[in-house]
Amino acid sequence: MFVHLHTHSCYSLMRGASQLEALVVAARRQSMTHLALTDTNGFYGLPNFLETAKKHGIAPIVGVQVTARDGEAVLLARTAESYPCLSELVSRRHLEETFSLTAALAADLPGVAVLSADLKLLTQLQGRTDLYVEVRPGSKGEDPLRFAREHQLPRVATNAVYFAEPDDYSLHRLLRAIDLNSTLADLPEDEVVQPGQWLKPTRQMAAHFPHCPEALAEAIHLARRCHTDWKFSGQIFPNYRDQEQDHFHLLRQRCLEGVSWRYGEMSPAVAERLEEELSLIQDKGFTDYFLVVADIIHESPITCGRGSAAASLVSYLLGITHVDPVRHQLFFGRFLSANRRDFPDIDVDFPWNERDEVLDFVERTYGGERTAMVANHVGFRSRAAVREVAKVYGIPPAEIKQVTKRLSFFGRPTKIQQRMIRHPKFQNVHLEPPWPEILQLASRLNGIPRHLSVHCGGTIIVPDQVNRYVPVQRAPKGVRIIQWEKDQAEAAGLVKIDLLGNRSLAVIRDTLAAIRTNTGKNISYAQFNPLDDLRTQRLIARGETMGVFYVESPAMRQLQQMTGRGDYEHLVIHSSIIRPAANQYILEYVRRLKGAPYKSVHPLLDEALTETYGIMVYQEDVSQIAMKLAGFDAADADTLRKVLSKKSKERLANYRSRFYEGCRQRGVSHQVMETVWQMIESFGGYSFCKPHSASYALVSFKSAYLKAHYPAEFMAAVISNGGGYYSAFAYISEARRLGLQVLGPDVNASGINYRGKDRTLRVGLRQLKGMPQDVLETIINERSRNGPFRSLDAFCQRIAPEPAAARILVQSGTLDSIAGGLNRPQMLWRFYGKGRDKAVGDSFFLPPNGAVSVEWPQVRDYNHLTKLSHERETLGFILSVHPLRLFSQRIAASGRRIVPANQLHQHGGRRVTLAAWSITGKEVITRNGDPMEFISFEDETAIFETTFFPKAYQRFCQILDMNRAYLLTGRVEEQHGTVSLNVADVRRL
Amino acid sequence: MVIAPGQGRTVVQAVSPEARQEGIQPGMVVARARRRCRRLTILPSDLLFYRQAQEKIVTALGRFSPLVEPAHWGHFFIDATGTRRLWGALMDSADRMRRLVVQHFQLDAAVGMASNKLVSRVASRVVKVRELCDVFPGVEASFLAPLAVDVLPGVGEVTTTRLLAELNLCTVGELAAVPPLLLGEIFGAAGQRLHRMALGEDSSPVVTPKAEPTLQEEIQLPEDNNRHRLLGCLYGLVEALGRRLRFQNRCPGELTFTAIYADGAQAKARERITTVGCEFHLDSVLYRAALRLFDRAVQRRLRIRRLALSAAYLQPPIGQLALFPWDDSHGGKETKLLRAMDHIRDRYGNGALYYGRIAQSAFRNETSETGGRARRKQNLSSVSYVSHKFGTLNLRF
Repeated sequence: MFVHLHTHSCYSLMRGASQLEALVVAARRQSMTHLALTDTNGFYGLPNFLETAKKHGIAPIVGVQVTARDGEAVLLARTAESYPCLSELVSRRHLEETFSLTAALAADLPGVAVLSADLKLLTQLQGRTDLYVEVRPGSKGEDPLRFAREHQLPRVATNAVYFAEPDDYSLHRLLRAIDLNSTLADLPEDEVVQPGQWLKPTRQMAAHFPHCPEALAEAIHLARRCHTDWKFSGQIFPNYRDQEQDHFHLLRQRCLEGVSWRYGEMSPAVAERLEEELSLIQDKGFTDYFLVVADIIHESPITCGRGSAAASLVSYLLGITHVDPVRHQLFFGRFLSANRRDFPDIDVDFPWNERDEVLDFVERTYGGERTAMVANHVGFRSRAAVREVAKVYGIPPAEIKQVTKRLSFFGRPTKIQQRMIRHPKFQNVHLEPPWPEILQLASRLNGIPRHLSVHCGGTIIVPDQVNRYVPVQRAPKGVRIIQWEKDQAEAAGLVKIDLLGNRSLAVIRDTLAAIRTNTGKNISYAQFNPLDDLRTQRLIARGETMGVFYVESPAMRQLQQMTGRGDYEHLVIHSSIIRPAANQYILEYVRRLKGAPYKSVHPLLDEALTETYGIMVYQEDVSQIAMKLAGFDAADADTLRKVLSKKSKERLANYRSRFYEGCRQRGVSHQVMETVWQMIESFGGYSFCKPHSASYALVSFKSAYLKAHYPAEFMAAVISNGGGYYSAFAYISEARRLGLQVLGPDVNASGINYRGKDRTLRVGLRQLKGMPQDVLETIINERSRNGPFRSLDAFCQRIAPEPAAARILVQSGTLDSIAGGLNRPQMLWRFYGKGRDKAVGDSFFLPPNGAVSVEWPQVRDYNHLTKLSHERETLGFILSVHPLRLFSQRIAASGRRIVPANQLHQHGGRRVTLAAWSITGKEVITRNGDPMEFISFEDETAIFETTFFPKAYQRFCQILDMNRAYLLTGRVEEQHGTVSLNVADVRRL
Repeated sequence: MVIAPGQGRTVVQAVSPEARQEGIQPGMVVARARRRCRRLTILPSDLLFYRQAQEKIVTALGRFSPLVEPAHWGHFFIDATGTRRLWGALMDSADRMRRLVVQHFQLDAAVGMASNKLVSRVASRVVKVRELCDVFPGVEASFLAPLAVDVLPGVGEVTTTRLLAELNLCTVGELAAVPPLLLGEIFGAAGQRLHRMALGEDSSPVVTPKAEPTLQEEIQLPEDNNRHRLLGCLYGLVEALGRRLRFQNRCPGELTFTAIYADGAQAKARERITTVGCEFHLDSVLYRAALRLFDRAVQRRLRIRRLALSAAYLQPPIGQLALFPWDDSHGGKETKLLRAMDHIRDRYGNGALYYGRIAQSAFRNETSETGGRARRKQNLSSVSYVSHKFGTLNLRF
């Protein structure tokens, strides 16, 4: 038997080629009992390794390979207590610029075994206990072996494994080439390992060391001395204000204060619910957790507590969430139950540009050492995989784009081949060598992490030091992040608080500020409650919700139109029912909502699904039905919900058989079982619980209220905050449809951001593409200090922009109001000429007296088309006219009768042709596995939805793109009062 | 018909009018071009043949005037000053020149006639092949005025074109109307030149070409190559260049290395050789210099399609003979070896002898084909210029 004590997985980022499962399975196959994982400078995959090893019956040895300027060594944790020391050491390796491995290892590290083949390091560490000479096969092992014999040090045989199987060597080379930005041919030899460094079986390892059998024996001996029974110690979270006392009374006190704030006075229902929640919170020991989160929340006036936490009255009273769980009957058990062992999730949204301040507050309050953000392990999606491999092969970027643009952005690399065969975008695309090889290699990058990034909100706080639990390093943006992503952090017991950035909260904040400036009205975010506002309800019912948080997607707007309901309760349902794979239930829901009779699938479901017309809408419906129909206990039912969201086919199949078995025992017919399970499966991927939907629907309502009453301020804030589902151009079209006048950028009237007032929307200077931020700030600051710019000369003197910035200002029309009779080319002459003063001074045709009398040349102004082209270049879209106007001649030449989009409903069932500008699209896969797409188009009159069913999509997908003009012909389909175009023919204009 | 260095992933360098009608463009990958036109004929490029044809046309046009300047491939300026008594009216002699070239080279031409090179060049571009355009003296400015500014040489450069477009100077006439002082503010010293060009003024003379003291070797790489194979190709270029240098008993004063990438971009590195010595005709010395240039030029992570190595400012080797026969500091042994290798290759062909380092490279295939490569006549479009007594005139084939 042999034990590999130096093994790298793919968590040795861009070096190790094998995934943990492959390594552990290979070790098991070779009848090994132990395996050490020693990734480079990190424990990136430790919780996963422990789980995988446990699954396959391998004793896991925890280690790390540390590389530094002064040497490298493999460090193994011989005892459970030595892990925190190793974690700390690895953190120092990442955070300290002057880190010295020699110095770090010279210090007392009890229970840490050091293996190294680095003779310099070994020389300096002589005398240290637990020091081993690492001996590798081949000539590289000769010097360390000689050194070990000379100094009588124990020697350990390793193979410095970087891949599980010999075939993975090509993948290792590929990863190195991608990492080093090199081609495969030019990879430096010292940057790749030897082809033989795979997880060799005992016999082969023994064959490498006939001269040194004691090294093999020592490997086994050392492995047996290492700790292998690794367990994470429960949940890790600090005491409130670091005081080890019971804060339950404080929590109760805060809740009672919340009652008078939220309700005025205590009602029996509230009192009963509060007592129930408080006692559960006290029993589970979550008191401090609530208080800590509440303190963080109070840092920002505009927040939205989301997720299941909205079901908690305590959260509501502490101001963490804003939906009344008593009034809206939100089920507390979804958030916290007696069976739940782990900490409940409290996710809170902040305005996206205030989140960093909140994180700063957390760091200030608890100290930098005690907080860090959760990481994301960024891997390769299909596009990135193909792009990177093609670059390694030296393919030009333009040629790479021809292939990658046909791939799905989020698809997995393993799906590339399948997509190439099946997807119509690859129809008639012939890929010459070496493309087949590139695509084959790209698919092997599936599941391999590439680098770490910062999780969008996960923050952890610990009682002592984060780096004792997990190594900490710095993300490129400077934030301290742990080496684990959220699942591994959770598995290790680190409690994550999600502090997320939300653009729509910033939209609401900015709109409220603009209303205050424009009208003097002071609307408080927390206080204003528009649920009963009729104008808002009508706007939502009409589906005119572009820009409104969470309900602006084409599918959501169509659902709103179909139902014609704009009340809060229905909006909560709609926010949840819109999810992938639920289309048939949506149509059934609309039918039932409009009064169609229906019979419940099973009487046991009646009570649970009354509110949602017998349709399963929320995540908790899954749990409740599993409990009622199949007799699951609460914990199992909750796990089923989680398994659905993780998309684990294996575990889901297991739950399916248990569900069927439970139903059979309760005498449920097979047909009902099938029907209910299909409904349960439609929750796969992502779905929402009612408290979450209720929380978000409240924000949606507040957004919709602002859109209904203050459209100019609202639309300005939407575009300024980067919009949501649509492009800035689409929002500007929407603003026009709302009757607003959209004005171009102006040096005296525009702010940095868009501005809305009364019935006008003014483009902000930030919209200018390629404009340096400092110039924008200079303009705004100078204007606020010394007043508006009176003339072009004054602007030149006060700002003196560089020619490139001046070109953008002139061509976008920003300076038209101060042109003083000059046309745009003449203005440019003014700026460009100014920059050439020196050149003029040097030129030989300068007048003899040196006086330059400048008269601007009589050049023509740009023609209309050139101005539009400049608009598109400087703003990113055409502002003055609708872009379809540019195609009016071609539209007329087509000889077809064009139907305006706002009259589409008059042509139900008929075949019509529209001139259309594409806005946004969503590709979906049918049950048969065929791709189709829903695309939103607009013309000058309205936005409208189209469906490209598989046949049409197959014909036209290669010419479909966003922000382009098309002639669309198809049949107008009517459904529950909404119309859409079933496209049969497309012509690109 | 197209010209391309090979099949598959190589790119088309030139296309015949018929191929252009099929939608094939220069720069297109050959495989894609072949998909567009299944009967496509692909010919390899043959620089030597083009050079010889160019020289023959110069000689042929030399019958009409002693001053014939080949501008670039297929473009010629001819100064016809003082040839009226010999050849008659300029229009007649221009047509005669055109017919002469058609007759001998199967290349038809567009002809532009004007008082200077600039206007004659523009004139040849505004007419089709087989047509003549005569711009009378004094009307150059009005002839140019309605034309787009990019007909002027140098205006194709990115900066100038962009600036002129931004200032809305779209036609030559609009450019001419701007006072030179103001043009100078924007374009600096080039403003004056632009103004003169816009007025149709050009005083540059037609000059006969000097014998180019340049030797160049190049190789097309239809297949993808790693660094090892590229260096093999480079050594092949060095061997071929070194052999020609030794044959002519010359040493280079300047070495230039050029690499063309798969996306058409070109990377160039040049090195002046200040200490001209006899050792620079040795392959090993040349290779060291070429390798330095290679490492400087090849920086991008992209496939390379063509390599070229050229030697300019050729001079006789000035070196001192070794004082002692056993002193090999001047490469005496290598000189003898190379002499022997050259002798074998002269006798048995290029492929008879090669170093192991180029055995795997594309260079070996290329050189072994060279001997048997047939010269082909090609009927591709090109441009020629002729001058008359006022200045120059222009032919386009």
